[in-house]
Formats: sequence, C-alpha cells, structure tokens
Amino acid sequence: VKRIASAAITKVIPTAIAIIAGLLVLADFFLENLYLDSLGQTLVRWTVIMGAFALLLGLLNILAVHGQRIWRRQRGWPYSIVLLVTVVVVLVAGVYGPQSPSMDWVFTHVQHPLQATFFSLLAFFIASAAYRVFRARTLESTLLLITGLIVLLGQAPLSQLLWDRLPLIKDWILAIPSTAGARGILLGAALGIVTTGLRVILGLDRQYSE
Amino acid sequence: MIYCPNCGTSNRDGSRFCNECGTPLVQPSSIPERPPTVARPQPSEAALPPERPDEEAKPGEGERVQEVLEAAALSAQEEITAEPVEPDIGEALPVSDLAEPVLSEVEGPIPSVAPPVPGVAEESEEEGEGPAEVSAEPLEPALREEPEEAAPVEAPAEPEVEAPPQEAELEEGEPAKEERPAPSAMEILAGIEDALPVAPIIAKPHSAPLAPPTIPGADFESARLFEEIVVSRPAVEVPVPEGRWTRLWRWARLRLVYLLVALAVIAPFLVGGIWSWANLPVAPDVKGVYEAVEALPEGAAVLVAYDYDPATVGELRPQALALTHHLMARGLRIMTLSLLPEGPALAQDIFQQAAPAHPEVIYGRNYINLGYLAGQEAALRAFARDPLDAVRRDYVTREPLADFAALKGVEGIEDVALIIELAGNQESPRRWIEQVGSRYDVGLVAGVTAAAEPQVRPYYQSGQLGGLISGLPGAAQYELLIRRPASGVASLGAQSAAHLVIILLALLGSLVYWIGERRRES
Repeated sequence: VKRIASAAITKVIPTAIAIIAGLLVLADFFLENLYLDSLGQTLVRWTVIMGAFALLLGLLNILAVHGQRIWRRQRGWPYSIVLLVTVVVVLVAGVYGPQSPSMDWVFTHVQHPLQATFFSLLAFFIASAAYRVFRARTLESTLLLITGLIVLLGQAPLSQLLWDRLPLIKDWILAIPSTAGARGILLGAALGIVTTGLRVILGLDRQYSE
Repeated sequence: MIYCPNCGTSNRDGSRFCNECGTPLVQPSSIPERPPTVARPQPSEAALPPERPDEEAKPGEGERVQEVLEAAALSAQEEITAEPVEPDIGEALPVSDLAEPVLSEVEGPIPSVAPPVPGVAEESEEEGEGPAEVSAEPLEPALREEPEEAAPVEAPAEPEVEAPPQEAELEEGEPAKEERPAPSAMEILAGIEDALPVAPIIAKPHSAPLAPPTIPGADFESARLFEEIVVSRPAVEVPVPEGRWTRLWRWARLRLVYLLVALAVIAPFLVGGIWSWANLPVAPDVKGVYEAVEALPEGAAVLVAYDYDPATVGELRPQALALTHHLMARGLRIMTLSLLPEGPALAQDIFQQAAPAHPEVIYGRNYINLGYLAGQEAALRAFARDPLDAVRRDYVTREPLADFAALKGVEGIEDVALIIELAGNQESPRRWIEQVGSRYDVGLVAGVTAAAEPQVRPYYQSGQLGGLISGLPGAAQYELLIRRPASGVASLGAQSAAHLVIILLALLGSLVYWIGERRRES
C-alpha cells in the first residue's frame, strides 16, 4: 500500500495534472467556450505567478551556491563575495520600487554601461576574427567569404556610394537564400515543439515526476 | 617560453595551444620515446568483441586466460623487436589496424579487414583456393579445432577485395609458421574459448602491416579521415630565434587591428557628416512600419513592446526614439510593456527623450509605461486576453491602471490598434506572433537588430508582420521618413567605416594566408 501511495504521489498525480492542464489549455486555444476561456485564463495566470516565483527561487539558489563556495573557499570565491555584495546592494536599492532614484542610478550608471560595453566589444572581436580566421582556404570558405563581404558591405550605407546595385544583391541574399534557410530552421523547431507538447500531453515525457 | 611551431608566437610555459593560431604546443622534450613493443597490441585490444553477459567465466579460467594473453603479448614483442620499427606513429600503427574497428562498426563484417589466421590461411592457400578471405566469424570455430587439423576456410566464389600484401607473402609459402606461438596458445585455450574472446588477439598478425582495404563508397572516405586524424601528429620544429622587429610586429599586429576599428568608429563622429544621406533609399519593409502608423486614426491605442536590453541599445534605441516621435506626433496613445526586466527602464528613457519635443503629451493621458511582465508566452497570453488583469499598476507611479486615460477603452488586445515589437533577439517576435498575432485581429510590426533579422524576416514575408525595421540602417531610414534625422543617421558613418575596416581586414587576412601557402608550396 505504501508503495502504491508513493507511486501515486510521485508519478500518477503529477502526470494526471500535466495531461489535464495541457489538454484544457490546448482546447481553450482552439475552441470558443466561456467555461474553457475562464479555465484557460486561470491556468495561464497561475503560470505567470509561478514564473515570478521561479525568479525568486533562482535568486535563492544563486545565494546558496555562492554562499557555499565562499564557506568552502572554493576556487574563485572572492568573485562570489563580489556577487553577493552586488545582490544585496541592488536589493536594497530596489526596496522603494523600480523607479526609485537609487535603482535608477544603479541601472543608468552600472548595468546599462556594462552591458552596452560588453556587447560593443564584439566589434573588436569580429575585426580580429575577420583577419585571422575568415579566410578563403577552400571553395566553401571562399563562397562564405564572398557572401559575407557582400552582406557586410551592403548593410552599410557606404555601399550606395560604391555601387548602387550592391544593396540589391544584399537584399536578394537576405530575402531568398538566407530566409529559405531560416524558414527551414523555424519549421523544424516548430515541429519539434509540437512533438514535445504532444509527448507531455500524452504522458510520455514526465520530467516533472522523475 | 614556448614558441609555436606554426606561427612562431611565443606562449607562456605550460601552454597547450598557441594563443595566436591555436596550434597544439608540444615541446620536443615532452615527447616520450615510444617503445617499439607497445604500439602493436593496441589495435588488437580495440578489436575485442563485446563481452557476453550470458556466459559466466568458470573459476580458474581467468588465470589461464591471463597466462595465454601474456604468452601472446610476449611473442608479439619478440616479433616486433625483431623487425626495424620506425619511431613515427604513422608507421607504427598501420592503417588497416586503426581503421578496422571503425569499418567493422560501420558496415558490419568486412572480409578483407579481418586478420588471417596463421596456420589456417596458409593451409587453405596452399591448397590453391586463391586468395584467402577470412572473416571474424569463422575464426572461433576454426580455433576450436585442433591446430594441426585446422578447418579449411571457405573462400567466396567472387572475391570482393584484393588480398593484402601480407596474405600474398603467405601465399608463397613461408616455412616459419611453426615458429609462431599462436598454436601453442590455442592449446591452452582449448575448452575455454567462450570465456573470453581472446582468439582474435592471439591470431592477430604481428609482422607486416596490412595494406589498406580498397572499399568503395563514402564510408571508406570516413575511415580515411579517421586514419588521418589518428595517425597524423603535429610537426614539431625547433623554434628559430626571432628578430626584434618580428617580435614587435607580432605584438603590435592585433593591437593595430583594434586601433583601426576604434578609429573607424570614432573618427566619423568627430569629422561629422562627411557623406550625404539625403539619397538614402528607404526599404519597403521599413516603409511598411511607417505606413502602418500613418494609417491609424488619431487617439488610437498603440502598444510598444520593449523586448531588448542595454546590450542592443546601439541599434534599437534609435528605432525606438524615431517610432515614439512618430507616434506622439500623430496623437496616438502609447503604452509600453516588456518581457525583460530591463525593458521598462529603457522605455522610460525613450519617453524622457521624446516627450519634451511634444509639449502636448502628458504621462498617463497620452503615454504610459506598463512595466515588466514575467512569464514569457504565458504572460503574453494572459495579457492579450485581459491587459488590465495581467498588469494591475503602472511602472512609474504604481497607481492602478484603471485610473489612466491612456488606457481608456482598452479591455482586450483587440482594442489595441497596432503592436510594435522592438526585439534584440528572434524569439520575442516569434512569441508575439504565436500568442497574439495568430489569435487576434491586431496589426503587428517589428524592429529588430541586424543579427536577428534573418530569423524574423520569414514572418515579414508571410505577412504576419506588417513591416520590419532592421538594425541601424533601418532606424536611419525611419528617421528620414519622419524627417527627424537623429542618432540613427549620425551613426551611419561610423557603421560604414567599421564595416569597411572589417572587410579590408578579412581580405588582408586571406591575402596573407595565400602568400604563406605559396611560400610553403615552393
């Protein structure tokens, strides 16, 4: 009896909840029904609330992991101290709301410049990579090089001054071959999502109970 | 200090790969002298068939098998030491030995790859049955027989593969077959062959390497590639001392690249408008966004989704600013929402930049910031059904949304006349299209980074997006459309120069590579 009860709690009940919830939300997507609408909306709202709680859990997890690292003096533990101090500072700054002057200062003078700077460094890395790696070694790499240079030049307005047909060639590359590949990826991903959804609804994927 | 054998760059002691070109760094002193007696048994071990779980080894058989293995290894060592062995790995590990396990896994049993059984192959060949082709399967039954009465191996009617040179040698009849230790090992193995499938190890030829099999098809190409990877070893050269100028050039090369990029980005801003952008053509997809806004009646509600973070402000801030100016100038009600935590602050920054140019607009009446909504797809679905239920308070004043005139009449997403999605990645537009655009009758346009454009463009081509602004050029085009040139247009010079520098660097890199290749060939 104990084994059956354990299996019911750990496997049967979570699977039943997942299947029923999945079917209800799916039916709500396709059917127009007042009760289904209400039920679907409730379930979706629960998901949003759980998503917000997941953020909180993520924060607690980070605190626990880095706290342990400091306690055990693991490799790089001084960085963990920096992280924990930063978490505390941002939490204190945000006590009075996201639009408080302290939070606004943290965003404007710390987060914004840091993120923008890190992303801007890509320009230097791309230039370095273009010199060291982007080489015409084989036929395929030569084709890639030529295509990349056309798109790169066509993206810049300077190409208008060099040759007025260059932007047209760039547009063709982006609209036809590039979009064809992107569409294939999107369709493949969509089919994968459908398959995964079906597996969850049919109870074949039960990661939540395993 | 370790010098790279490929490019000559000096690397720190203990480095495993070159910091410049990635070539593995193997110091000459660290290469062990490979004893010639060790290399041979490895492929044989790799060719061991899997263990049989259904048959348990009897007590005492393990020790006997160990003895047999040791005897076989000893005899193999004697044979190998008797012949000159090149220190090169490629010579020591014959192609067929290395490729055998791979080929047999890929195509099943390959007749020519399996090693001939000493004593068995010779006998069958002496009987004039042509080139012997012994597969791994008949090997064990043959060994179960007495060594003197080795069962004749059936040769296929149509030999598919030529006999390797070693078999040709054996065909001539070598009197040395009694010298091999394999038959004595067979005697020890009598009765316990099934305990451990060691027969192939003992029967493996240890003298001359087998010639590579001639197998047609793509699988052989894979095997050849595998052989190349396994056999080839990096060339280790004694580093030649470099001159001062060479070292200086190596040190300065990368820094020169960075300096060029920095100058290309900064100089156009300092010099100013050296190019005229008056004739910059406007792409149809950008015009689609402009026309969608123009088509809205005055006072209509527009939702702008700020789904980007500070990393991509360089491209998306000019777009957002131009769009907000256009929306405010048209007298439309603007509400902003973000699926990223950083989005609301970026939206507020845009409002603070744009609002002073339109004195008639007031926060709460003409525009409102709804803040951040957690939950991605689920959040969008909840918001689309009932916006005022999904978001209860505004981002700035934290007052209930029902109190704001900017949201008057907005009870569902269909009460919004247009949704403008500003995204730093390709996933966000997809979410809006899947959860909102496909279900509700509401117009949807997007502004994205140039990197995200290829993944978003299919939605524009299919008509699911009414317009698409891409990157900095798209922002500049929109600024020209609303006749308000700003940071988008101003940044085009820097972007053009940076692109030009990157193109020149790529061409220069290829040129240097070609010249180097020519020199090496000559």
